[in-house]
Amino acid sequence: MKLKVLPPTLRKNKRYLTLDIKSQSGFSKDDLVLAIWDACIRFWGEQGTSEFDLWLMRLYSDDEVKDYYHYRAILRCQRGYEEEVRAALALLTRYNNNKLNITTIGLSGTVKSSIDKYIIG
Amino acid sequence: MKYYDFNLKGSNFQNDLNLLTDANNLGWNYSKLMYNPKDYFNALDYKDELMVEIDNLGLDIDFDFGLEIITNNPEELRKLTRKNRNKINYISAFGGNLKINRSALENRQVDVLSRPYFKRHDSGLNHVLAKLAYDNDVAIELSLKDILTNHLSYRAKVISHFKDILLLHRKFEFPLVLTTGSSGVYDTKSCRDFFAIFKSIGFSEAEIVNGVCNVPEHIIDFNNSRKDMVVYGVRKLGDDL
Repeated sequence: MKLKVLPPTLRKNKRYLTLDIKSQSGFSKDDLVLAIWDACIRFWGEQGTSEFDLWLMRLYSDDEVKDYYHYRAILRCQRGYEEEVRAALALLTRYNNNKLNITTIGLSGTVKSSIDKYIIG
Repeated sequence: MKYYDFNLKGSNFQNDLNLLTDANNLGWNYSKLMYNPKDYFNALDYKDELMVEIDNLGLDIDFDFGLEIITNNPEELRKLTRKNRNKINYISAFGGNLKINRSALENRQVDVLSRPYFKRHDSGLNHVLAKLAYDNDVAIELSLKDILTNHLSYRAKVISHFKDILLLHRKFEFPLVLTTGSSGVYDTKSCRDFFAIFKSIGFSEAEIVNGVCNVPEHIIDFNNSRKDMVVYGVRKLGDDL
């Protein structure tokens, strides 16, 4: 049986971070999820990360040929913790012995607006 | 408000161009490309070309070259600063060695003491050196690169050194410069990310703005007026006065 959906006043408020990712090697969505959780838990600890309510919504890969693999992603987090998540992700420099650089390029209230503004636009 | 990044590692034309393009896209308004004394004068050969290329690409970023002196000998540091002060607008001394930390902070001709905590078990500064930095107006540079390149316990130690220096900065009010220290595409960080990291360490918004905007701006203005300075504190205002 499915749980009944919470009324809007009891739901957590969300924000969507648009991430710009440069990596030395290609990776899948699952790899990125692990990398993001690893970064947050390393920097803020288990208790701190429990507040963030992280969820990777979308991952787009850039087909343009460059010296590195280039991706864009949309990450959900709880409202009020954007700066903490941003800091933890910026401090992630390596994953699986490959160099990685994650920069937050946008912050939106909905997935649609983050796609319109920072992925398509 | 203009955001200044006072430490990008300069190496060659293409890499410098990539760094400046990235810095511009990530919200920085001014970058200093740092070279050691050997490479600095070679880099001057392509400075004009770099400026033209940046104009062609339509980038809205200013840049300049700076000299980073890396030595373990205080006498050599003194010689190099005396020799280059009139030719070069920005001179930084790479710290980590206590003798160099002290020598740089006693020398008004040095603009910045870079990373005094480098490869040390302490922050490399104490109350005596902090007073010297304030009296001689030598800024202390903290580089984000040191946090990025270290992990786990080493990263925690670097952050702890940053906090020790911040404590001294709050008491003695010496100038503090915050930089990225980027050398390639994997190190560049946006202004907002940079602010978020330093805020999470314990810096206040005003302290970060000081380190990224006000102090670098003061250093540039001071160095531009250095040639009119008779002695420290006395400046020629022009013939018409």
